Amino acid sequence: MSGKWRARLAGGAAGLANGLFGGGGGMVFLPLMSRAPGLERRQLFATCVGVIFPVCAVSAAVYLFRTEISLSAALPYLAGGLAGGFLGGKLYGRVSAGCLKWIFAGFLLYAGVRYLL
Amino acid sequence: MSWLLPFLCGAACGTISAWGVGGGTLLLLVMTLFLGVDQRTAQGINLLFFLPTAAGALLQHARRGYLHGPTLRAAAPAAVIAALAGAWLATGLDADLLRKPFGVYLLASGAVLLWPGGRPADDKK
Repeated sequence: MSGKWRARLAGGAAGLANGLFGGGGGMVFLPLMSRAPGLERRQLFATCVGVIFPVCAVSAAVYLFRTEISLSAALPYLAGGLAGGFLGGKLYGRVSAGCLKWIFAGFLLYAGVRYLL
Repeated sequence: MSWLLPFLCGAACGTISAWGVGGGTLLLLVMTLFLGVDQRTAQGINLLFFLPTAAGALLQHARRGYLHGPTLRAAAPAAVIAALAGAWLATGLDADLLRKPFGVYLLASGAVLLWPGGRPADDKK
């Protein structure tokens, strides 16, 4: 498959999943693109954010337009997220992300089972 | 004080996401599984949550020249169109209809994350 078509397919799949489930499109995009030639790891992660950002922006607009989500309910999460992002940036490199990845994977499996039951 | 728990959860998820772990679903799951937020509201908040953090990261990536133009130009339009369709469906359907597919999606994501070499997230730094 040519690189262009691989990217289109990965983008389409990630966008659909992200719109349907309200997040996690990167988890579709990254594995589909991880073997794309000519893309080093750093570029892959950066480009993934570049694809998911407009996806989240248009999806959020649809959710705001079509449902009764109040911005006041979202505000504490957003404020916390900003504080956390700042803190995370400060602590970056001092915590093993590898270990966290395993915990997160376990949490995903637990959550998946909770949703299926 | 009803804002305190959401604030703390947002902060914790924001911190962990800044380390490249969380995959954009961590806060969503915390909201639905532990805070009793209904699925559709949680999805909307999760989407909004991503925007400010990602905008900051994106500026940094662009400044350092890490954005891969050809991939971005091919993937982004397809992704945006598919996202519009997905979001339109999700906001029109009965939210319970998406529970089982979402569960399968989470299990698959967990499995991909654990697959040896399946995802390059482990040696991000």
